[in-house]
Amino acid sequence: MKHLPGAIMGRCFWAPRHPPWSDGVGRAQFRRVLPLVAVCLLALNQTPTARAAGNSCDTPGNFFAGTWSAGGSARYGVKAVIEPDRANLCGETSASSAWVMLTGSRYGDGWAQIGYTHEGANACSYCRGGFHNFSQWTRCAGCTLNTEYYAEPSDGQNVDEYRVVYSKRNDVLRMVLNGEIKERTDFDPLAVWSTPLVSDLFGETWHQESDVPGTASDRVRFGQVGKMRWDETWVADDDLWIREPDVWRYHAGWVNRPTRFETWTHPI
Amino acid sequence: MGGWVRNGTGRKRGSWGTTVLVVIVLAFWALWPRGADVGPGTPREGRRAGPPTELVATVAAEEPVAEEPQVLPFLPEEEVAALAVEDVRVEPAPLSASTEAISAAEALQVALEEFGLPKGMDAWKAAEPGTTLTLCRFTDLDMGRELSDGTVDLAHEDELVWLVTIPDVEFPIHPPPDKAHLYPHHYLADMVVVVDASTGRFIMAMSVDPQ
Repeated sequence: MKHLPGAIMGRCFWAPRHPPWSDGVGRAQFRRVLPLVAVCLLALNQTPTARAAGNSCDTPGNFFAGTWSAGGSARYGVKAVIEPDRANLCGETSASSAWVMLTGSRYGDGWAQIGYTHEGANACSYCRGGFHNFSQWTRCAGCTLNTEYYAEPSDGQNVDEYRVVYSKRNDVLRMVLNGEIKERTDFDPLAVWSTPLVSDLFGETWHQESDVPGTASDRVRFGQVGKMRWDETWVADDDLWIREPDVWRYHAGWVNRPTRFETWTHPI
Repeated sequence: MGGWVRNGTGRKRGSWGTTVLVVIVLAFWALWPRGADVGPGTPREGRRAGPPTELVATVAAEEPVAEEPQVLPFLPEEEVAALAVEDVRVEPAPLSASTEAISAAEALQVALEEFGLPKGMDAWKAAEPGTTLTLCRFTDLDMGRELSDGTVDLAHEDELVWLVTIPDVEFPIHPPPDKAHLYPHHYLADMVVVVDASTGRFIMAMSVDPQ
C-alpha cells in the first residue's frame, strides 16, 4: 500500500547530480531542494516506527528462541499463555512474533499456529507496524497458506491463551484464542501429516538484528504450557526441550519445567 | 539556522532565514499534489466502490472533473459470492441495510488504520488500486465457542459487515524452525478485512486466494 508519507519518502531518494557545495549553481540547487528535504524529514517523522529501530537489518532469515517436542511422544494439542511484547525491530522490513504450533513430524508437512506478531511498516504490504493476534496454517510445503489477523493481544492481568487442538468430531486442527475457536484446517492432520505431531512454542524474528519478545529485565513468559492427550485432557509436556536459539543474543530458559519458560533478548 | 532563542534580554532573536524556510515548507506541504490522481471520485482502475457523496462534492468543488456516476458501495451478487471462502458465508446485504451501517469511508478508515494508516490520514487517498468495499451479511462457521454437544456458538452469524478487499497483499509466513528454509518470507493473496458495519469495530482480516 502506498500512503502519503511513503509516497513522499519515495521522492527522498532523488539527489542532485553534483554535491550542493561544489559550486554556486549547486548551492542554488541546494537551496531549491531545501524545502523538499524538510518535507521529507517531516514525512519521516510521521511514519510509524518500531519501538526502537536500532541496527540495520543486515541478516534476513527466520530466527527462533523457544521450545519444542521434536522426537517426542504423541500429542493432539498444544497450549500456552504468552505475555504480549512489541519487541524491538531492526527496521520496518522486519518482524517479531511469539506463538504456539502443531506441525507434522515429516519434512514437508505443514503447520497450524496461533499467537501474536509485531510487524514493521514494510514487513509486508499491510503490516504497517501492526501488533495483532494471528493464526496461520498450511497443509504442506508448497500448499496454500491461510492467515488471519485478529485484534491486538490483551495485556495486564489477563494475557491471552493460545491453543492448537485436534477436534475428533471434525478431524481438523482448531486454533483457539481465549477459548474461542478462531480458525480450523480444512484437512485431517492425522491422515495427511506424519505423526506424532510436534509442539512448537517460539519467539521468532525475521532478522538477527531484531529482538525476540522479552528483555533481560522483562522476560516474556510462556505459561501454562501443556499438551492435549487423545482423551482431550491437558497435561504437562515432559517431551519439551529448549532448542538452542539461532542468535547469540536470543535466550530461552525454563522457569518451571515443563509448564513455564521465558524468552528474551540480551543485549538488546 | 538561528532558530528561536532568547538573546539574554528577554526578547526572542529569530532568523529570517528560518522564518522564510518554515513558510516555504508549509506552503510546499499545503500545495504538494498528494495523491490527487487517486482521490475520491476520480477515475481509478479497479475501484468499484465509490466514496460517500459529500466527499465527491468536496473534490468537485476544488477541481472540476467529468461527472462521475454515483457508485453505490455494493458489488454484483456473483462477485460477492466469489468472496466466500472456506467456512465463511457472505451474502449481499439489501440496499436498505445501508441506513443502519457506517459509511464505506468510515469502514475503509477503520480497516486501514487497523493496519497502521496514521490517524487522520484520508483512507480514500491511501487505499490501493483495486480495493473494494462490500456491505454484506457475514457468517463465520469457524469462529465461536464450542458447546458441550460439540456444536459451535458462532461469534459472527448473519452480521452486517463491510468487507474491505485489498488485492495482492504480501502476507508474512511464520514457519516452524525445522521447515523455515522451505518458505520465503511472504506469500501473495487478497486480504479481506471484516469491519462490523453497525459499530465500526475491526473483527478480523484474512488472506483469500485471488479468484
